[in-house]
Amino acid sequence: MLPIFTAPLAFIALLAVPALVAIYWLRQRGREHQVSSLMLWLDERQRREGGRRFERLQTPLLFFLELAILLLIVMAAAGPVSRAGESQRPLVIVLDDSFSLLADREDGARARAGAAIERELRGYAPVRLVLARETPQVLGEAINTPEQAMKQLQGWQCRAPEADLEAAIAFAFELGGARARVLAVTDHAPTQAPNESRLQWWAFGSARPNIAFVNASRTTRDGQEVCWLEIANLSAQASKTTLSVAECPAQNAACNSPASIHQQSIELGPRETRRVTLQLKTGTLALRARLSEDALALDNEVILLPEPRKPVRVEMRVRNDALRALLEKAAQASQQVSFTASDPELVITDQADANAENASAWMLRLISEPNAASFLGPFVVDRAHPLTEGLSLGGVVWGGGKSEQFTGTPIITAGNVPLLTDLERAGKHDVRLRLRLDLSTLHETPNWPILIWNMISWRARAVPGVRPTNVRLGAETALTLDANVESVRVTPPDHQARQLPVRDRTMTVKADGIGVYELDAGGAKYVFASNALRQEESDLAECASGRWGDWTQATALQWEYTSVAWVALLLALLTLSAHAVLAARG
Amino acid sequence: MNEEYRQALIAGEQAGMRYSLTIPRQAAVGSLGWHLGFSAGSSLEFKDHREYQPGDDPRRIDWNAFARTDKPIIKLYREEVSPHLDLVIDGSRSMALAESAKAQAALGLAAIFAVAAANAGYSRTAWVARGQCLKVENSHDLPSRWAGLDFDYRGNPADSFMQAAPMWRRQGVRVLLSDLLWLCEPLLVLQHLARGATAVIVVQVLAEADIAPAARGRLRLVDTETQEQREIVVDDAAIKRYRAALSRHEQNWHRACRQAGAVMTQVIAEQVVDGWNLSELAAAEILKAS
Repeated sequence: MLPIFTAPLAFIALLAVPALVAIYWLRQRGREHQVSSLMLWLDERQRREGGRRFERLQTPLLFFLELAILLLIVMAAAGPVSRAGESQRPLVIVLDDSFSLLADREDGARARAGAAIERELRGYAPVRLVLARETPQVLGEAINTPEQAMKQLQGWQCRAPEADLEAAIAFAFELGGARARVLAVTDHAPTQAPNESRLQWWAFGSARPNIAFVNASRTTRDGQEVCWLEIANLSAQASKTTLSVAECPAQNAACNSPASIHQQSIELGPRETRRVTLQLKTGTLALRARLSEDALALDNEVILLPEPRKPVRVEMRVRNDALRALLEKAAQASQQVSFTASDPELVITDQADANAENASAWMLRLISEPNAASFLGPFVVDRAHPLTEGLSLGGVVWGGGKSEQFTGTPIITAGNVPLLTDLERAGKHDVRLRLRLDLSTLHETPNWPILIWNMISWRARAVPGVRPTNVRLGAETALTLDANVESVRVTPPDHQARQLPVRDRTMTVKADGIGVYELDAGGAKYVFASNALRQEESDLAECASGRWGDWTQATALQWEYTSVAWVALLLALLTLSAHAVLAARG
Repeated sequence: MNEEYRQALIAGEQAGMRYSLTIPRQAAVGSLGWHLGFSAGSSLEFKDHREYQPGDDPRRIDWNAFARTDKPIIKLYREEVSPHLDLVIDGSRSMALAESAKAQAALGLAAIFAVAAANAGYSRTAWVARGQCLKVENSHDLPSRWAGLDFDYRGNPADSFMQAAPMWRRQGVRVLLSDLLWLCEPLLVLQHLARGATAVIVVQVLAEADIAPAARGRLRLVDTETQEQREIVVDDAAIKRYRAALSRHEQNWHRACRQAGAVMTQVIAEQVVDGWNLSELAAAEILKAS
């Protein structure tokens, strides 16, 4: 591979070559001397005793050595750079892992991208693969052979709800180092051509019409279970599809013959989104809704599991009628409570020393102290606590006890005076609210129902079970357990089961697959469903094919080429040494 | 012929007035008139007797001896020799070595020999060896009037004698003026030179630069005749070897001259032209003051 010179002006120094030649020519020419005959000077036998003829081989050798030294120095000064071997420069491939690449199945962008990458990988090593998801994810260790790369590529499943390619590319540059080249593989064109000369952008998508579920939920409204489905025509042409909704008798929707409960033909205009609301019978188990086959199969089906939403059992032990009325009104507004006197999950009382019979019951104590004061603020609020979500205490007059010593961990304080505290014991929470209605305006502000709502929701979330049971692909769901369990066996839709640890009786599972997840917590089984509901990924209208970016741009010279001036200098030194040795020998 | 050569001829002519040519002792002298040859001839000087052989002139039968011995005996008389000088000048370029007086010395010596020969009663012919022996224009006239003498021959002067027989006078004295710095077999050259001659004299004219080169250092030696060049570092060792080679070369010629009955002497050109001192020739009994 021929070197390129970054400072060709240095070749002006080659003018020294004629000077060297002239020096040798003049030095080598002896003075001309006429003799009568040369025959008396031809004494070959004693040549080495002195007066030898110039040994032409020796002097030219020195000359050529000096010439070589000169040329090598000039070459080094000219800044020769040699193109770095392709195999020497790391390649980081950023793979768009969003599910839009699964359009057209075997002939889709994923398949074509895989084939192109396989061709590109020949001759490259090492290679790193990075999955572009919500956050970049490295796909395995560095690989040095195309076979290893192709094996790793099998982990490119395209199941992410979105792909932050910019973040992934930035991560790839950091991962690969200064000399790395980055290849972004996706299904759409870049917003602007890559201006980074180390980046190439390959797109293998094709614009296709697609009708998809873009939203789906299942909830209870006025005691009636309702299913909402949003269907979008993500193309510029009107299109038609058929919606089929079926109920699976099994809780996990794993049934071969679901019972159809609804079917309708839907005509959608260009870019139209239509909501379908279905009233469900009480006790309806898993729902499976399907659309007609089109370019992208993942977004043509949703599974909606019933939300196990039970009201929080609340026991009201408040003797102050005014306070009782305020509490009941706020609690009922949440629509998540049922007042009971037996086996409560939350006890609300105005008695500082009251105890709950139920060992798992939480306590909310509203303590009215005689030695009280009105506090105008400023209030110090622990915003990380669930009870303070949405509270805005500006302008609120909070009347309560003014002693600085109070039971529990402060949540809201007025200076050093705790006004709301929390004391946790064995998973139970004992919340103390210091309040004098006659000195306060808190109960007259929106903060009052918010506070009660937060208390009830907090308690509801602590009830064992999965919340939510229907999540979007990539979202997280939380599992709350009643008993202490060390780990939960999680079986995703691809049935690759794994054990996940449990901390503080809760664990979080991210839905990275599409389908129903089964959770086994020491015999207690829970399920939740994950659906590919992402309009941006279902929209194939902007998909395109093409290649952008050029790794051979001149701006990449500093990365593409490595200086080989040191080679010329080293050779010059070696030649100089040889010259010195020969010159010393005369 | 340039003016410098002309002046050398004039100087030699003037110097030669003081000398006459002699034949060295090694060569036989006598004959009718002035000089006699070595072989039997028709002169009146009795040399020997021998038996008559068919073809002999009957008039030379010595009848008295026949009466005494009863054998036909004829008288032998020494041959008469005409005194003539063939002066052969080496016309090669080496005789005109730059920065030397070889050409002037050679021409001056030629003039001296010509005038000295005339003083001795010799007729003379001057020749210049330039591939063949060419007669010098006006060579029978005074040397100062000779013409066509140039030292520009690039070949071997020996070819002048060996390739074609020159028109030298039989029984004449032949003088060769040369630096002898050419490759040949000296005896072979001398045999050709001495064929039919009464005496052969070889005068080696060398420049001081030929005998003791003064130049030192890195030299590009150029052969005057062939223009061949040779890059040589000339130091004392090189000069030593050169002089040894020159000595061997001269010894070869001396040996050949002895074998051929020739007389050889050496002069140094610069010393010759410096006052035309001819002591070497006088010592060799080639010239004598008249």
